[in-house]
Amino acid sequence: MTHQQGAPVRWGLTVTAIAACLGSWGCASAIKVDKEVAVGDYGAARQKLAEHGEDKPGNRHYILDKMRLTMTSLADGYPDSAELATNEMFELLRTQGINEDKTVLAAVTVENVLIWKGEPFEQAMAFYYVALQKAMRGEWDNARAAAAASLFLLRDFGENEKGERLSTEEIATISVEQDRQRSQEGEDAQEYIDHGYQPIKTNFALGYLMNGVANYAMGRDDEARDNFHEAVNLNAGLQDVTTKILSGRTNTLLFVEYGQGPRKVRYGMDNAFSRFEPRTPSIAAPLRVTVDGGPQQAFGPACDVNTMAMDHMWNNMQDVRVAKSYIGTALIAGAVAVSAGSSSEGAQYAALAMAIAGLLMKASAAADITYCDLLPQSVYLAPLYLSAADASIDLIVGDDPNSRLVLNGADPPGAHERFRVLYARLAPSAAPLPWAATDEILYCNDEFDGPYPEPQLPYILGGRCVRIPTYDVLEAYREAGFLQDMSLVDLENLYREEGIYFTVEDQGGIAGRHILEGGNSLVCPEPGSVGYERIFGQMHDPYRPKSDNCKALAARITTQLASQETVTAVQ
Amino acid sequence: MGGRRRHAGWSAIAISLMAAIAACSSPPRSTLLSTDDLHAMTSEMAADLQMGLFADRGPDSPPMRIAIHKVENLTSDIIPENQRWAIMARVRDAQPIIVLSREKNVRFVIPAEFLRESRQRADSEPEFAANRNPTHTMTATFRSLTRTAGIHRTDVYSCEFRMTELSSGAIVWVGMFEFKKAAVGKSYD
Repeated sequence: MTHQQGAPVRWGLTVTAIAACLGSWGCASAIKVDKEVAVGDYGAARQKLAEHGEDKPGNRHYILDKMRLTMTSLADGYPDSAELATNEMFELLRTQGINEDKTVLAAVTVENVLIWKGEPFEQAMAFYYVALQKAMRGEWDNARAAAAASLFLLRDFGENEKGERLSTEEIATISVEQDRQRSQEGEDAQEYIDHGYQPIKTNFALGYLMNGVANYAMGRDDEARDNFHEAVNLNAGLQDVTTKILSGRTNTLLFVEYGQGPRKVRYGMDNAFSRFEPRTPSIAAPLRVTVDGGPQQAFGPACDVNTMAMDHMWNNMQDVRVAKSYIGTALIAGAVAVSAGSSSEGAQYAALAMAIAGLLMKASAAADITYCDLLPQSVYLAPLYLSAADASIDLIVGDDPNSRLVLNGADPPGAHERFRVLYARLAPSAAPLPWAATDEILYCNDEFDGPYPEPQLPYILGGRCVRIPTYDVLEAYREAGFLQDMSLVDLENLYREEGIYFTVEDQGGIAGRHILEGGNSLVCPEPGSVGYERIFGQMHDPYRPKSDNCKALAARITTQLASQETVTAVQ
Repeated sequence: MGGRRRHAGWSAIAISLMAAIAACSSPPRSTLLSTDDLHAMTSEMAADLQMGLFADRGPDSPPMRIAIHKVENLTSDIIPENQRWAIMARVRDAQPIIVLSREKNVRFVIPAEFLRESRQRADSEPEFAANRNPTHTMTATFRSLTRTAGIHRTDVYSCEFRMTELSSGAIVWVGMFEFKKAAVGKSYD
């Protein structure tokens, strides 16, 4: 008898422990890169994501990690390096119902069985990033396809009696009531969440803007005008932007992102619901841009992510589905528990079973708050005209001194392009970053034709040149009095001995960190990006040769430089 | 009687299994272009080209030097750059090149885009592709039309290949390949 009385207690303790574990699963998060992103070190962030991100499409954070890898790679100025991640993300975003049949499982266990596909606003932003990556590569037709994919229909559940947009909790309450009423009236069970809304055209102005730009770049002017018209209808502040693009006085499209997108938090009964709360407030400050010291131009935001995130139209109602299931099961559990209020052993076990169910339900009720933490608060598009190579673009959002960034080395498009796309993701830094507002390029690189710092010598041999070796580059070293007895192949082999790569393809499709930042890649980031400024706008530690050949050559050059300095001093 | 009952039992199990398998096989979830779609299309286009434009040509026909262009993508899908070239290359390579050259006086020359890139490289030979002189270009445009209703999505793809004579601007061959793809499932889920 003693044994039988103790069994329910032991079971109860075990289940409580299991429930506690389940509760903690709700917060499982992806790889943290917030510290790197906060200081604009997108190189470190993308490397972390490339090395440790989910690699199997069935894994929960696969799409999220691909999205974050895409975003950090673009911010770092490496659109080619983002190609694989972007295409893989697009393929899964375009796959329908990947979480079908898992909602019920999520409700009775933990929601984390679902593959993260993001809220609709996160999906729209993901398609925007795909379009941006394609546009940065000059693939305007693919950019057009991705931009069009962001313009999916939304579900509008309307407003409450106060004229406010319904919250997810209110939608859940209405849903439970309506479904119960239908059931009592003997009508077919029709989920309110699936049928109680009006499908409406999207209000994603940025998507229309991007679609318009892509079409215009392809010479499909009529389709471009239609999309611009839609964008301006949704966001009147875009009138100047679209007019300037269509005027023909634009050859560069500068996309700028500012602030931190909203944070997803739990709320409501047992934290069963989720909503987004702003991290950077929506102040609609203008982006002010100056090209080569010319007149300042101002542009309003094309997209406010806070506004999107807080509207239920941009919510997938997953928390509502889970909460509804939870509420329903809890009601049944309660009813059974009351009827089990007997002193019999069987009834005790029944009551315990209900308690177990209740605990498990409570533990799993907490809404999933996984979200894309790298989204910006606002997105701007500045149509510019660059008349000469290596332009300097000075930009600032509102009066926020921490947002100031000077982009150097930007070139106008080539002869066969209508536009060149630049993308600057402003670091959400708490203080001005030392390299952000400099107008100096401190290292020779493949994207800058301006004055080079002397002497002309590879960085791996003690100089400040990080250009990929070619005949011209080698000739420049020779003219400076170095590497006289080296052929181009010798120089290339020297880099190879150091384990340094010249192309993204050599690195398996993802560029490693730049050698100036301790990596093994010579691939130059795109000018006009934060990565370009961070890498070439500040001094880095000298290179430490690894191979004997490189060490010997570097030592010889150091001696040569010292003797040159002595001669100069004597003269 | 017992045997018949056993037989009926096995049949019931078999039917149940078949029903279970049918229930488990999920409907298509995506209307994206697949490798199989592209293979089917390029094979048909290559055969069409062989039997159409090249059929009447002989070794003494005027020389035909064809420059291919990558596919222009006007679908709702992303077609990566390498795939856009690969599609055209598959149509080209389906023709036995040596036979074409010898028996039909047809040659394929380096695409203009590759030539431009090559000439921009510092280490390219100045005489490279000096006698390229294409007489024709082969281009392709892929389009798609999308219809969505509830959880259903259908994309109709239309892929058009064209051969254009450069001197006259006349389109001398057009090959069309159309197909439909449907998928079921909530797009946001």
